[in-house]
Amino acid sequence: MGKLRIYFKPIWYNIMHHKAYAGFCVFGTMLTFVFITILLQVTNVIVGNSVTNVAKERTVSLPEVLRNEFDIPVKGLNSSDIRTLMNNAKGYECYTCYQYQATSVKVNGRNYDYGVLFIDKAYWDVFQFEFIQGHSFTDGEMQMPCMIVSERWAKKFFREGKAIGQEIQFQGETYKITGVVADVSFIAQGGAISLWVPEKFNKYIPTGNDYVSSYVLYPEKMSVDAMMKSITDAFQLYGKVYCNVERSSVKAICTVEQMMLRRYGGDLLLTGVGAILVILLLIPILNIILLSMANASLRNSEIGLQRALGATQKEAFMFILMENLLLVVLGTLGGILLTFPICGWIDKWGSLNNSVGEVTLLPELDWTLFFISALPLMLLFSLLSGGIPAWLAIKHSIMEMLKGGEK
Amino acid sequence: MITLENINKTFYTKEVETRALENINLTVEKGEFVAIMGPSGCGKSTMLNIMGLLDKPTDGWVIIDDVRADLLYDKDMARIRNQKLGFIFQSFHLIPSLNVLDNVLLPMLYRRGSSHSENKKRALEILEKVGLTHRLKHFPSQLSGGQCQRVAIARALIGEPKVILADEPTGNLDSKMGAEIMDILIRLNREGTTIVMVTHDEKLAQETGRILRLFDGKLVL
Ligand SMILES: Nc1ncnc2c1ncn2[C@@H]1O[C@H](COP(=O)(O)OP(=O)(O)OP(=O)(O)O)[C@@H](O)[C@H]1O
Ligand SMILES: [Mg+2]
Repeated sequence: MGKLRIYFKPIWYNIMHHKAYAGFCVFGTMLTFVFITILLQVTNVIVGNSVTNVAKERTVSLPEVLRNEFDIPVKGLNSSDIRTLMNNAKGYECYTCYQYQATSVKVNGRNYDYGVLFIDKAYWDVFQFEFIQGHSFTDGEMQMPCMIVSERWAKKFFREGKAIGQEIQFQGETYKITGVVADVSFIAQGGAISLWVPEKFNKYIPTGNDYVSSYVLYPEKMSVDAMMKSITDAFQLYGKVYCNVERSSVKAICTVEQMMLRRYGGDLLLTGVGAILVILLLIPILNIILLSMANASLRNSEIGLQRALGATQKEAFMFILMENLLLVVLGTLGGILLTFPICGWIDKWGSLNNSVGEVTLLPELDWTLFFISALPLMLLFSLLSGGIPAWLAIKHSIMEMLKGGEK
Repeated sequence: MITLENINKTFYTKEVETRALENINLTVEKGEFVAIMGPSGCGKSTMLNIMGLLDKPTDGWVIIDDVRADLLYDKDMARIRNQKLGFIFQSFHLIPSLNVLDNVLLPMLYRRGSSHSENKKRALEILEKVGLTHRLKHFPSQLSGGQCQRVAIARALIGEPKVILADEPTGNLDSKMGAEIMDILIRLNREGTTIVMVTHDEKLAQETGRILRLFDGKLVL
C-alpha cells in the first residue's frame, strides 16, 4: 500500500499540474471513443448478427415486382402469387409477406403519422423480435384487429407497462395492443417500424396495390448456393407458367446479409469503417504525443531521478505509460457514458425527419463487441499515445533526463 | 571500489563536438573521501555521472566492485545504482508531490521484496541522523535549501550504499548550511561510506582525504 502510494502520487501530481494537457487527453479520448463505439456498434448491426438480423445469411429477400430479362416490370407480386411461387420452392423453413402503408393513427384522441406493417403470422418467425410484453399474433388474433407496437412507441404514448389492451384507431378500425417488442436499430430489418397489424385488415390505402415484400427463411445448414438455386428456380418457373416470361430477372433476389452489404456499401463499408477508425485514432494520438512531449520536462527530470535511484528502463517506461493509461481509461469511460446521450440526440434528430416510426439508432450497447473491440483499441490508443513519448524519453541518458527538468 | 579506465567522453551536438573528458584513469578505494575540483566546464559533473552509471563514456569503461559496468544489462546497472550507489545533486532533485518521508523512501520502490514498514523504520532513523525528524510531513517547497539537501542525503543513504556520489552538494547553500552538510558527509565517511564529491569550495575540499583536479577534461596531478 505504502509503495503504491509513493508510486502513484507523482503521477497524480503531474496530471493535476498539467490540467490542460490532462483535460485534452481525457476529452480527446472521450470523443474518439464515442465515435468509435457508435461506429463499431452500427457496423455490427449491419454486418453482425444482432436481433432481427440473427438469421440474415439464411433469409432470402424476394422482389415485389417480377421483371423480365431486360429488367422490364411484368407483374407485381401479391401474397397469393407468392404462395403459388413458394409451392415450387424446396427446403425452406418458412416465409413471410408483408405490406407497408403510411397512415394517420389516432392515439389518446389525437392523430399522428406513422407507417404500419400489414403482416402474416410467419413474420415473427422470420424476423426474430424479442417480446417484452404480450406475444406474437395467434391464429385467432390474425382474424382480429390486434396490434403489436415497439417499446419506444409504447413509451411515447403510455405509461410504463400500460400499453397492452390500449386501443388505437386508423382507417376506420379500432385495434387493441396485444404485444410490445424490444427496440432494434432502425438499420436492422423491421427496425424502422413501430406498428404491426394482421394482413387481413389491409385496405391497400394509400398505395392502391397489393404488392408485398417477401422473405424466405432457410434451414441453418443449407448453403447459400442451395438456397439461391431453390428460390430462383421457383421464381423462374412461376414467371414461365403464370406470366409468360421465358427468363425472369433474378438480380434482386439475395440474402438479407447481401442486401445489407449492398445497401451500405459492401466491402467498401468495411474498408471505410477501417479507414475512419484509423483516422479517428491517429489524430488524437498525434495530438497527445505532441502535447505530452511539450509537457515532458518536469516528468523527465523525475524519471531521470527514478532511474538514478534504481528504476530500470522498463520501469521508467511503464511509469510514463501509466499516467497516459490513467487518462485514457478515464476518457474511455467518459466516452461510453457520453455514447448514451449522443445516441439519444441522434434518435431525436432522426425522428424529427421521419414519421415512419419511433426509431432508434442503437437500442442498447453490445457489451461483448465493446470488450473485444473498443477495449483493445483503447489499449492500443494508450500504447501509442503514451508509449511513443515514453520510449523517446527513456532513450535519453539518465543525465540528460535529469537535466530535462532543471529550471 | 570504483575504477575508471581510459575514459573519454565526447558530446556530439548538431555541429559542435565537445571533448568533455580525455583519457581519465582513476581508482577510488573503499572508504576514501575524494574531492573533485576544477574550473566550470572542465568535466567534473560528466566524470561523476559516468562513475555513477548515469551516462556512458564514449571510450573506456567503469569497473565497480570488480565488475565492468559496460558489459551489464540495463536491469543489472539499475540494481547497482539502487544498491551500491547513492546520489546527491546540486539542485536536490526532490519530488515535489512527495513529502520528506516519502522522498526518502523513493529508492526502496525499486528494491524488490523490501518491506515498507521496515523501510519506514530505517527512513526515520536516517532522518534523525540528518536532523529532520520534525519535518517528516513537509513538502520540498516548504523546506529551506539546507533542509532539502539533508532530505536528499537521507534519500541517498536509505539503500545503505557503499559509495555516495555528490555533485556540488553545497553549491546552492550558504556557507553555514554548506558546513553542516559537510559535517554530515564527514561523519558518514568515518562510518565507512566511500564518498566522491565535486566541489568549488577549496576549504571544503581540504577536509577530504584526496583532491583530484580536472582541467579541460584532463586530470592534473
Ligand atoms: N549534454 C551535453 N551536450 C553537449 N555538451 C555537454 C553536455 N553536457 C556537458 N557538456 C559539455 O561538457 C563540458 C563539461 O561539462 P560538465 O557539466 O561536466 O562541467 P562541470 O565541470 O561540471 O562544470 P560546472 O562546474 O559548471 O558544473 C562542458 O564544456 C559542457 O559544455
Ligand atoms: Mg557540474
